[in-house]
Amino acid sequence: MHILRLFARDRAALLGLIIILFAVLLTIIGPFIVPYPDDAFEANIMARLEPPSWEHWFGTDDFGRDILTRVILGTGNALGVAVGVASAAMFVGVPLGLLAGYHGGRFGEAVMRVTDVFLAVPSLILAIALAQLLRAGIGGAILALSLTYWPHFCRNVYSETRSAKTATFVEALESMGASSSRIVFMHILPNIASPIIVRVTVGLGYIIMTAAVLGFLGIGVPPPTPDWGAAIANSRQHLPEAWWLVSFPGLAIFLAVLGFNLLGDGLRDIIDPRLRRAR
Amino acid sequence: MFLFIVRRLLLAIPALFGLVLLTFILIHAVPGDPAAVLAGDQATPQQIQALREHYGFDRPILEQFFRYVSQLASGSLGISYMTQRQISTEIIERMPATFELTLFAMTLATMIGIPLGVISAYFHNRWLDHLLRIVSIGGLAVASFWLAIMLQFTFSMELDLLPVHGRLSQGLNPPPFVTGMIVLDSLIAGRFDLFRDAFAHLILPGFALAVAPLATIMRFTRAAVLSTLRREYVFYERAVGYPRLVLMGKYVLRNSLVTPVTQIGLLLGAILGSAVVIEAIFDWPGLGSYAVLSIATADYQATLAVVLVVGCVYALINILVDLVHAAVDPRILEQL
Repeated sequence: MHILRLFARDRAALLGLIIILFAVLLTIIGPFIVPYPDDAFEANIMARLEPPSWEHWFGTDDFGRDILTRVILGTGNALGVAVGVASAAMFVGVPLGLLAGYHGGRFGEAVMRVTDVFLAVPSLILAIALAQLLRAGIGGAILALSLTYWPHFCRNVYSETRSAKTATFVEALESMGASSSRIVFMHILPNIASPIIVRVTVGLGYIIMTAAVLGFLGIGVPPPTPDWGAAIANSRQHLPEAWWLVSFPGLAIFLAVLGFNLLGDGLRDIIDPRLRRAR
Repeated sequence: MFLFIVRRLLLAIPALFGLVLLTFILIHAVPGDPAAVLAGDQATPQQIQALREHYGFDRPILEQFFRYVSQLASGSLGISYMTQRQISTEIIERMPATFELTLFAMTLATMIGIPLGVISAYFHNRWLDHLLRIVSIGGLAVASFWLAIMLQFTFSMELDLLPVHGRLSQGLNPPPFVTGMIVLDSLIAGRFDLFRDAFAHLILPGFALAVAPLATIMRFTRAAVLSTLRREYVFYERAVGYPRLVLMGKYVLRNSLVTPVTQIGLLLGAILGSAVVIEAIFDWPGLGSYAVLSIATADYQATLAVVLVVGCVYALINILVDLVHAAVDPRILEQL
């Protein structure tokens, strides 16, 4: 209850939560409420490059497709990719980080050296190279982003586990003869869950951004699937005549990333008072 | 100090070696003939055959790996099938442009971010602070490639204030090569007309790159200054009646800047990453647009070469940052 009250007082975090809930809502009911569900994928040359109007709030693109419709439909793809990548990265990074942190020794050292390799290149460049090598398409993009992102999780969990390991309760469990996997997964994991949650929240925003870059470079979802990044790339050839093509998908990315960042900041403040933003 | 440098260099080697191994595994993990994978989608059978012989893809896997490593160690990153030139030559030619752009962006981010962070902390919880915090939160959420296009649209296409792309206007010849960075070289040559033109070309891409790190630096500076302001010695000095500005400039700032400065290494990595897209948008002839070109033409060797080179540059940057950190805070050296 105390946590909820703290959270309700943080207006920025609440705004973030509202944005995210709105995006989730759009993902679920989007396909049913979009103004032009029929021509989302099909060209309509008669209505090419129309500026925003009452019929087309965000205007139409170079195929005559309604941009509002495609921005809304793009929400689901962006969130889907983000959640998929974050889950995959967690699935690999969390157990590895836990085991490496708890057992340490040669195994822990080896895991950390492997994360070093993945962190040796700025993550965006690694993601771009991997996505290209794994061939264009949504599967390749998700795999590339997951491969780039898991070391961040692993590092985080590793250092949290290292410090949790010295706690008295772990010593007590060890002396009672609890198995190491029981200690790690049943006792340490719940204790370090909060930093993991913060990491995921901020990470989701980051993944949406990186996935948009991949889409922009043409190594994300293949057309005609609605994608914010790809829409921006497409819009460049119609500047400066058609500003609405580039503006709205970009605003969508901005809002989505903003939502996760605000929520992540708020959660961090509540969970870790040491890092609390001075206010 | 010397030992510290040696140790840091040695620490970087396994990671870079691992990176080579990773790229090697990737080439082989992708289904199909590794030579065909490496050559890209548009290569001719002769080019694929040449690659197969070059790397010995028909030999045992261990021998292939040693060949791959020894090729790299001798400085050869392969031959681009698009231009038929050594990739290493092309990359070296393009490096100064990327350094010019990223250094400019980093300078911009630091020179604006630190003062804004200090101002934000100084006016803690007043309207200026709130405004600056909103700006920094927004700056972290905006996609740099989108911002770049919007800037290009607004300032180049609509207002016609700044050039749309490139490093120099057409018809101008670059100054004699010294550093390869046109802004510096033109000053060295005393050509102020060239300097103005090159600088105008630098502003938009530099700003688009700078926004995210600027926001980060601002946040770190604000937090650091605020926590210093709560120290007891600051309360004491305040009580004694130091003028606030002297207090800020002389005592608070110096004790607050270590955290933001150590962030710069990480941020340079992020800038190198987003430079890939920004360079492509502004036709900036650097490493980033080279990477995008290699993606568009499916020239995988070139892409992997960029990854390896950026990995080396990034390792070097991090070592430099550690050195600066150690110079600012000698306690680090004792941890060895």
